Amino acid sequence: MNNLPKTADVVIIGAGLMGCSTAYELAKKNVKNIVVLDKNAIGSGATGQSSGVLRGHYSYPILTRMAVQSLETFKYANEILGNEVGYQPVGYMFGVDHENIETLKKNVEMQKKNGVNTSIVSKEAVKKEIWPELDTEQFGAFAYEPEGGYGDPVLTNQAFADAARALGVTIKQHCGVKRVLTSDDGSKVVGVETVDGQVISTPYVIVAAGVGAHHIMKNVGVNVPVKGQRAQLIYISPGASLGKVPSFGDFKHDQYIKPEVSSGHLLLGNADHADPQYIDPADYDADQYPKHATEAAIEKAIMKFLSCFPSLEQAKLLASYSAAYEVTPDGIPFISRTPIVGAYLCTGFSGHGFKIAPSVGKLTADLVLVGKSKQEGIDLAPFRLSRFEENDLLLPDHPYTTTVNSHV
Amino acid sequence: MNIVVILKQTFDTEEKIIIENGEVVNDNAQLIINPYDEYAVEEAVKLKEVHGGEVTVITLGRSEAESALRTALAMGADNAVLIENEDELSLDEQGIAKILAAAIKERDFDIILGGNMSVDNGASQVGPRIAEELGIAHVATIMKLEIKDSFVKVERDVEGDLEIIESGLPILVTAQQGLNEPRYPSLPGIMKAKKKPLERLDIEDLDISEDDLQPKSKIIDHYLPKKKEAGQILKGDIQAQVKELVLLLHGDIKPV
Repeated sequence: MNNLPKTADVVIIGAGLMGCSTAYELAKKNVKNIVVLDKNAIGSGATGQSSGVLRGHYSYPILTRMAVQSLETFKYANEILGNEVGYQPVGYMFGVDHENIETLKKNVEMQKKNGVNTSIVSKEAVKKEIWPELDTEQFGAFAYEPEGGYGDPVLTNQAFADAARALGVTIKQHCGVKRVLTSDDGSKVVGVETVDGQVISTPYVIVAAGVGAHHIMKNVGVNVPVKGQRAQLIYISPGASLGKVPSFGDFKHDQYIKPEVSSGHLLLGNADHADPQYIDPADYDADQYPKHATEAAIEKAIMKFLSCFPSLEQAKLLASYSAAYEVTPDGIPFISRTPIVGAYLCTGFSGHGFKIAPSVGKLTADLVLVGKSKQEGIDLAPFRLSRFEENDLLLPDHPYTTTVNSHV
Repeated sequence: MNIVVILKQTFDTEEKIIIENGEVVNDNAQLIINPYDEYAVEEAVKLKEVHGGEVTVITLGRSEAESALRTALAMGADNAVLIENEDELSLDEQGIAKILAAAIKERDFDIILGGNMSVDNGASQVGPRIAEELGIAHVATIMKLEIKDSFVKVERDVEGDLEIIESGLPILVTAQQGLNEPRYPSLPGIMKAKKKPLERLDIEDLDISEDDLQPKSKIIDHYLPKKKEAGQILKGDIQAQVKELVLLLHGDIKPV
């Protein structure tokens, strides 16, 4: 951790997707001396655990717009960032039960209006052309986005990091921040202190540290309600050659499936957050939380899968693991100023950050440079920290009833 | 065929080991079937597929070891036995072997399979000790197993060579890496395994004397290997680096 600069124009805490995307956008706008610090390696937090699903599907118009804007970066990563991000347009399919057919139609209309390439597809079409092994009868309706699919979160993170470095950004890994330093009266940022006692003076700090944002900001007297929530996933071989299948948001069973083109394997993720398990912040910081899935979670995932795909009896369990989302109370992120002048938040992506990361970088850069969003149709107000005390939460126009998951 | 598999639940080899007061402490660690025992389970299931019969998996362990047994059942074993050490007796390989042998003695068996060692203690003793207790032949570290009627032919790894051994039944064999490719449990198999019979016994239930269980060896300490010092990266152009390397080799450090 030697040769850290003594001063910076901006310090970003966290070199995950959000930190690096923000660093890149700030550097593109000619901010000169940007330092990104990570206590571990690039992408070693929530980014590295992300399933990488790409979709425009949201019931929140603003998030849809962010997803649409971001998709351009995934599609044209080579031209924009100069590197591949593992974008696989296998398609994204969304399925609902019979109670939510009308809601799905309304959301698809909204998404179309906001630029998503999507449409309602018939159960027959799903059976014939998209996923023949799926028991479509259980579902009420489907939507399909041909340009959705998945990307590689770590590759994407590295691509942003490289692009940022090419514009002069300094990224230091294995360089944790002990605390944010404020003026004597505590009203504004003056710098950061690293765990080995080095100080970087700066007027601007962006906290893109995931769950870590909570204790970093607590130390300067600001309550940021973000915590680690356990996610449990299983990785299976379908036991049959499925051909091209899409990423699938199954909102009848509250499960999502992400295919892996290179191997034909499937990642099954839980989308039922009725009974969230939280991780103690001290355990999260010490990296001492369970990384393996419980038997109960594995069985649940298996039963949901076999229910959808009764003919895939040869499917095998390859692996399972447990990861951590950084969740906010309403599942909506913080892209926000704080009561401390110069301290900004870019955290709380609650398990759905990957697909909007490029847009988040632009918004955070706008917030820090000009105090408001310059992205068309995307206002920053819904992401402000103060929304809870002002009781002004972002709500979807047409929420689904079958899921307790607040991020669709 | 009556096939018995002895298995042990161990930490995943990927886990970082934590040692406190000379004891291994790992509350969050992933627990798995000892990888060498997995070869044994796979071979047992294959034998059943060829010869018919039943596969019984047995373990001596904590309550958590049930999940290892369920995985074996999901792979195709038929019944499981969990012997719990309720009184937390201190045991070494000698005692463990006596306990497992006592449990196996009560059953009909044609062949017993196990792994050639466990990845935590690496003692490599339990399998052969059980064979001695039961008065049967054993072959350790096998790479290939063929059984036709009561005729057994094994190939075993002797570190650089292959020994071919013929035997009759009953026999105990321990598996070496390369014996087979353990199958991943199928999803329906995992669900079916929940309903397969799993018998719980305590050591007390078995026909062994306290004397027999007395450890004949004692572990004095557990410690982690010393952290390796960082290597030195030589700087400068290639000539400068070569010069410095030569000086280092002649001077400060003596090459091993």
